[in-house]
Amino acid sequence: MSRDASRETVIALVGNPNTGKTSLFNALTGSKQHVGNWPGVTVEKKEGFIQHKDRKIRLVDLPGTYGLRAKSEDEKIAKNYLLDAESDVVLCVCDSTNIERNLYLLLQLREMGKNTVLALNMADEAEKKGIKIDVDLINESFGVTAIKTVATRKQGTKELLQASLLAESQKNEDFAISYGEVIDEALSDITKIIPKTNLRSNLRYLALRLLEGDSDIEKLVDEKTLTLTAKLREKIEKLYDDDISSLVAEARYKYLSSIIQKAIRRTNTEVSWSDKLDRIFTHKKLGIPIFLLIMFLVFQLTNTLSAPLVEWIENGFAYLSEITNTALTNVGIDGVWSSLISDGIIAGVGSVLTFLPQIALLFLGISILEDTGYMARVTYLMDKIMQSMGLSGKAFIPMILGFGCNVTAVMASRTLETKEDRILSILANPFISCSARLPVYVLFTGAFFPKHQGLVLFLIYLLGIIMAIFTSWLFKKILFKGKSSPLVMELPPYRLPSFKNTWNQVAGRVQTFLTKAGTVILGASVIIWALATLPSGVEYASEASLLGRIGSLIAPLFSLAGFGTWQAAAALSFGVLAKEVVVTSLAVLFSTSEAGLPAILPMHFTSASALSFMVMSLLYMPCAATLGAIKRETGSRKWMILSMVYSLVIGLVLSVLVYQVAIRLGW
Amino acid sequence: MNKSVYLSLMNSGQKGTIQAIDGGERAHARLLDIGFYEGETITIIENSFNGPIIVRLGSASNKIALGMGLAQKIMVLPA
Repeated sequence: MSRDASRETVIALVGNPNTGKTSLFNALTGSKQHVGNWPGVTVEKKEGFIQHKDRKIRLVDLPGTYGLRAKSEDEKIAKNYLLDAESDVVLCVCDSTNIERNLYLLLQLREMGKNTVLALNMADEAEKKGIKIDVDLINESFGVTAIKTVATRKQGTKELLQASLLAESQKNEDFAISYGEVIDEALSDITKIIPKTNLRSNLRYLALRLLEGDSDIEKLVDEKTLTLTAKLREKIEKLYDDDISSLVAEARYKYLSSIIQKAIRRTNTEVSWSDKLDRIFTHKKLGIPIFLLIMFLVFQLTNTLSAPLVEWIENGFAYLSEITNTALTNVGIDGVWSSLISDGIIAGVGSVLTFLPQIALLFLGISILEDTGYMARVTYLMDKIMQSMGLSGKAFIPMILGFGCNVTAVMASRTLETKEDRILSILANPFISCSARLPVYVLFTGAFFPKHQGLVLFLIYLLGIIMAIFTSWLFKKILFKGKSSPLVMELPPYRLPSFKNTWNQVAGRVQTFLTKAGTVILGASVIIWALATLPSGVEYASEASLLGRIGSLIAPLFSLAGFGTWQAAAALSFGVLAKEVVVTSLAVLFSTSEAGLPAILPMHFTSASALSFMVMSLLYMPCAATLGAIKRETGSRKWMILSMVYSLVIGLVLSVLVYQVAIRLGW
Repeated sequence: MNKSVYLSLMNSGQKGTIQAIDGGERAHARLLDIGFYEGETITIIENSFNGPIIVRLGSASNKIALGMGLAQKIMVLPA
């Protein structure tokens, strides 16, 4: 790819996980990408554009990575980008409170020959913790320009852009550290014969990677170079009685520690309040009960606080429907078209929009939990349970994203190292209850369990988590008997959530939801309305309509679960388009009544079948977008079909079970 | 003279210096990248002997949760 004439400057954002890269990306570009105080939130590269004075800048946010050896998919994205794509400047983001760890990546970027600017992010926190950083010494030692930043408050962003543009125009100094005489000599021997590649890296760094046995780079060089590196590697490993990767890493850490000793001073060593909090939240016995309690409170608060808002919206739509009807009649439009607008569009889209307050509030809660760093502790807690079932606790990280949207969660499985773990996580993830399913539960709990709405919601979500874990366990047993990748995860200190970030998360979620309401849900409403109207002449939304016939065909499948009506069957079928459509379908089908859905549902469902219907909606099938993501991420249709069949079976079995138990309890 | 022990067997509150890291290439590389290397000081924050162990490397403010499987591969010389 060649540079276009307008001279766009490309800056790549690189850094360890959870250093605030995405916050910085958002601060620099004004975007609203998802951030959280836990590692592994960004799994894709994201681009943004900045106009700084007369310069056009393209900023590329890469997934967080500790090193450049690339083990998981998301880390590969970062490594490959740095080696293959052109970036004029690399902006290395580091967490100032954790700077000793972060310099390891900076060192490698400089060895690669990257023109680097260092963002010393979270500078305010470092100051509070009494961490003194000698910026000049860092600059001098690494040949970089370091700028203190506080991304969440947009501090230092201008200076960062200026430094980056300046770095682009200046000559990039060579940088190399010594690995001891023997290795240094080997590196210089390899650099002499290494063939020309398109990789954007210093030859010495490539030689080092070859010596370490990087298979991606080995593919690009000739036989002669490979023979030489193999010979040298063997000689060195024999001489030091250690593998080359350890030797290299230890040399780097040694070099870093000499700089760290001079450049960084920690004046405050008392036990932080963060450590004190951890004694409670990661407690061996109380940790899990506390997590469950917190989740329960989130659902309880979501319901209590949103109730008045929901009522306003409901009344608003009832009024809108009424005046539209009157207006349409007045201008002489009635019959089919009036029905399309009020029974189809207003009822269908409106039924889902009613749940906007719940979705916004639930995400307020989740976003606060993410921002504080609590979600990282949850992963730690879950690892105990998951390890005992032979699974990796790391697989829980993508699941947390699943509460928002299963598509993102399926993509986040990239953070897992082995293909087996990724597939397990991808198959398990759709059971995590995403925000699209919330309207179904809220509707049914409101109509059937008004006194225990929070509790029932909590149980449904819990069932989702349990089924996800069960699924990973089951497929692990059947398909992949090997060991799961062990957990290594940083636990960042607890932080107060930033208002702006929380607002961005919630606003982003609301926006996505509204967009979906205006597109997929609107479209589905029209289709469902049409199917309920055709063939012409039938009574609207009757069993004789096309929709009635489709529903009746499927309905017997659900009779043991207690909701074998054609309406329920039709709602579930169309719910595959998007889970909110389950509610939309019911609304369109029952819209002829004045009373509204919550009043009419008890005519078609009992408490027991309402419960089993919610269980079915949770489990029965990933939505179309998630199925697409499964196919993309696994690279095969096979896993997608497996996921469809498996979840349908699980959904049926559990909803039948729930219904049969419930009726025996006399519900 | 202290003898080095497996990290997995150390108690909460104990400190030490990393002596050796075994384990396959993959696990080893990940541990090195995240900051476990011979000579680094390590503090055990929480070890419940059932589930992952929480440690602090050097004086970093981030702690690290480490699965038992990995903790069994790290030899530490208690201080």
